[in-house]
Amino acid sequence: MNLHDEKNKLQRRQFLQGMGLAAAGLAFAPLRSQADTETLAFGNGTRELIAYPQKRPLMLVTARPPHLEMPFAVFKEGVLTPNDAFFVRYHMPNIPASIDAGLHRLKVSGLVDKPLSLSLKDLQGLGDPVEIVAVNQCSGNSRGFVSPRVFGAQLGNGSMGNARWTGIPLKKVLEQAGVQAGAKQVTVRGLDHAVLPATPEFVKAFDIDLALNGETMIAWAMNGADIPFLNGYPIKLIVPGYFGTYWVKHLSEIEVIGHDFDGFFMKTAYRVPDNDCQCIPAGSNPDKMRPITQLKIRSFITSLRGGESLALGNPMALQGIAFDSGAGISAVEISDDGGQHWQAATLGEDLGKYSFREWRTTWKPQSKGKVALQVRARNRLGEEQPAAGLWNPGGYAHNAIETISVFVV
Amino acid sequence: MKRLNLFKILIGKLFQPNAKYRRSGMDCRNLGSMDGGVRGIPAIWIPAIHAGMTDSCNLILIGLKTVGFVALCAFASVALSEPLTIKLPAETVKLRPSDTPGYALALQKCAICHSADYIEYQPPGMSEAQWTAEVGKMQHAYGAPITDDEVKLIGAYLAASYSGKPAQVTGIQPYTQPLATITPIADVRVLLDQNACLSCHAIDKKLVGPSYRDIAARYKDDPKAMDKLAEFIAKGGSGRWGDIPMPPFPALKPEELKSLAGFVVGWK
Repeated sequence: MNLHDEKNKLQRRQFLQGMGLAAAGLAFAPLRSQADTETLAFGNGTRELIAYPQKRPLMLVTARPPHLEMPFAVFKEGVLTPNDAFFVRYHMPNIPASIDAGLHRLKVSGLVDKPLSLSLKDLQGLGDPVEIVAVNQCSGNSRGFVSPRVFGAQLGNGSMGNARWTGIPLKKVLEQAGVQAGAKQVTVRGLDHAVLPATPEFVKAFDIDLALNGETMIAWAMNGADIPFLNGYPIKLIVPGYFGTYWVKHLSEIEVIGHDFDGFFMKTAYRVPDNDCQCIPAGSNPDKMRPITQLKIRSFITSLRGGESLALGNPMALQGIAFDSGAGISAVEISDDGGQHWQAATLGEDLGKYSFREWRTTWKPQSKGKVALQVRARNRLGEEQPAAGLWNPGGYAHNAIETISVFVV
Repeated sequence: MKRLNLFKILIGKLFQPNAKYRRSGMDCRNLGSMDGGVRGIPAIWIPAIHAGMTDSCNLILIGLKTVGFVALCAFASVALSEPLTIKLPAETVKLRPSDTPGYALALQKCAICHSADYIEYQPPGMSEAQWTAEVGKMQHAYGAPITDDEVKLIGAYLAASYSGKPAQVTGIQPYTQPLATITPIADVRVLLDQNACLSCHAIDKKLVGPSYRDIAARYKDDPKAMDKLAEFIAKGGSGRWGDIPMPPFPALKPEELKSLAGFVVGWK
């Protein structure tokens, strides 16, 4: 399987077509600029690049509800993902068009001694702000690469990002409200709504222990600036180590409940097979499902793009990122022989166990022709990435070992 | 370096006659990262969360004597409670045209909740059974106002137009009547309900679309209001009240359009 080759072929073909037209004296024809689209390496994978408010041009997945994916090349820019490139994903079409941060309120209700309605200023006054660097990854990131393909947002690998979040632990807020005995879960929701009364609202839930672990937090800043509107301004829930589906934008309501929440987006949607690999044979039906929760271990090469030409015998720097759900990355290795031999990379600065961990190594192309470079990571629990993609009906949590092909000349 | 960029941005904005940043409260802290706005894409206004003038503004005030800059930052400092407002780019992808009956239904029903790109970018080669199951999910899980028969028609259209497969609708009668006539229309309330009008419009307040009172007010002195509104309902469109498009309702008959248009202008 060589997806990156395909992609490269496509790009070259587009380029050659452009050249052909120019050579034929037809260059006056309005050629679509290369910058206008980005082609993902799967069928029907060409996306328009469109600039949304506070965002640089990103891949348009859907206009309504807004869903934008970051071109993968941006990961080269650094271990923290720029705010103006960070992916955007809404579930409901009726999103706010204007938010006054001074008037926004977060309601806390349910099994609490004292229901609250907190302004941003109230939140900031609850204690010293905390900072955490954490990966936010869409549950369906890389869905376009699962085989057989499944319906849903057809995403490449750019629906994830790593940012430094500043805010207050959710624990502080719940302590202020006074969680009562019998509390089992909290439900969370934001300002985005459905248009039809019959459509289930986007409400997520998780156990009270996770809410009180001191790491789950309510953030008002992202990489030192206000959170971009489309990423959840003015406050966003941060659930380190968990998939983005729990990171509610424009957070407005928290309810403490005494049972397992059975709303649509927990009970029916965002579910994976209830087994260790969260997978079943491709195309089959699962017996039992459970809500998707924590991130799986992944790693990527970011310094090379598939299809690049490299000089034989010329040592070159390779660089990339790895992450898991918080156990911490312990090793990253690369292979250029289909996984028979693996060469250890050096891990970069540790920005925290929920952050992208940079890695780098020097690699020397030893043989001419097409070379498939692979990268895999291991965490402190010994967890590794599967060689081939594991399948589930939602196309969630893809984490196979990544391969890119380069040409050694 | 960062400060230089900020100055450049401010200078640029100051001398653009239509500079949108000058409109309302902004937080100078954020200008450096507003690549989108700088490149001239949709307008965005950043309010200050915290009271008082920001460091960046102070720096500019100290460092520059240009009246324009002083005015700019003073403006920013007095307009602190402005909301952050966004304007989204227009939708560009349209449903693939087709002669099949499912096309008219899809135009009318799918667009209530999502843009057509959601369909356009699905994997190639999905079968009619798969497409139909997906439309069924829209009906059962998301409450789309479509009947079981309509699910099959839309599924057939999607398979034919997006997977290159001929439509093979079996087990139901060929579609011969416009949707709105499947049930005899009793009154405008049924029309409103059947076409999910009230999902996006309310009498007195803006929802996704404008309120009926606002529409009535705009057309109160227009002798052609009825004809215009009937046409707008039939053809849909965007730009009259913002960029969120209203789906067309091509299946509505002239008398039904008239009845709905009359209902709307009646709120003046």
